[in-house]
Amino acid sequence: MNPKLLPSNIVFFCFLIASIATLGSLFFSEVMDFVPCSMCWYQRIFMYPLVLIFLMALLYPDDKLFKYAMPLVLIGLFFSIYHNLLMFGIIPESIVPCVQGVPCSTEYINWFGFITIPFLSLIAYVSIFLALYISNKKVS
Amino acid sequence: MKNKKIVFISLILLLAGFFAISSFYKQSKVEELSSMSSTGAPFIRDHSPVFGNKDSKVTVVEWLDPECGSCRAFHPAVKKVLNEYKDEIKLVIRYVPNHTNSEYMIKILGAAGKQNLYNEVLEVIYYYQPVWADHKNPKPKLIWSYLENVKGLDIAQLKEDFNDPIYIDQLNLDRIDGQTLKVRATPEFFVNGKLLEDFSYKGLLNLVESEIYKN
Repeated sequence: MNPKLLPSNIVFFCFLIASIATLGSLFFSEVMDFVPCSMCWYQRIFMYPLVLIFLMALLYPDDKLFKYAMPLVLIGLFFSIYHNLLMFGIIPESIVPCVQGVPCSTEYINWFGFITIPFLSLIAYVSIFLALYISNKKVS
Repeated sequence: MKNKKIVFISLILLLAGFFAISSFYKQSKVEELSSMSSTGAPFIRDHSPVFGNKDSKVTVVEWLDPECGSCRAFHPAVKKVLNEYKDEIKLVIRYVPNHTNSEYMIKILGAAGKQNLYNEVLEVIYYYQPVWADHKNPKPKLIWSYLENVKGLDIAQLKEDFNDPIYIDQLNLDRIDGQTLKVRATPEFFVNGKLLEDFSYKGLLNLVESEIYKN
């Protein structure tokens, strides 16, 4: 067995997280009719392909999975951190490139006082990032 | 090969769960909407302009924006339906101020309603919409000169009533109700609380007729 292959249960975990994030965001926008702001779109752009990348890696194990997945995760994670700083008011809204439509500090849901949609996105990105990073370190 | 099976099963479970929850959610929304009173808030408020037969049991609520091009384009269809069934239905106007000068025009409409010239003024606002609501260079103030064409309209009185803060309060109530009913696009129609989905003259006519001839 190739020693650089990430453990399949880790890949499966990442696949599940990415799928839930994808279907969840589609549920918010298509079923509940929340209009996604531009920040949300950037996070979607980098999350959706991860589902297929992890799915293919599960069906046809690939030792280069880390290289393919990590750039998407990193860019998405960057947008997600930025968006959350904005939600918590650490960065003022005016810097955000939200020209029209919904301001990116709009709060659609707020569970327990801190779980908002961008926060869910952050959880998804951070857990995929940590799973990939730690398992990659272990196998290499 | 056992792993691949798990992958496929979880994929199917995820998708099935998504569609099941979606249809469940949509169904509960439809029930929630139909349980709301279609003759009062959030569909109708006391301040809303009403046309047709005010005692009619069939209520058509139109959510419009004077600055919206589709509202302008759809206006003749609404007039036709109202003309055909003016004794059977009542038409209630609510606002969705989605554009920069929507509020300006809604205030004019409110003041015009006071002089019983609502429809005449709405015609003028829609007719000249491409001029005053030009996307690059909107000139809402131009409307005042066009309004001089409306017979019997007291422009001085209109200008005075235009600044009445009550129109802002009423508009804010429309905003709140619009959010409750999830009205985002304009124009949007509810006939006795039922959302118009087939957005055409025929669609509106069908929905109105189905409510009139229900009993």
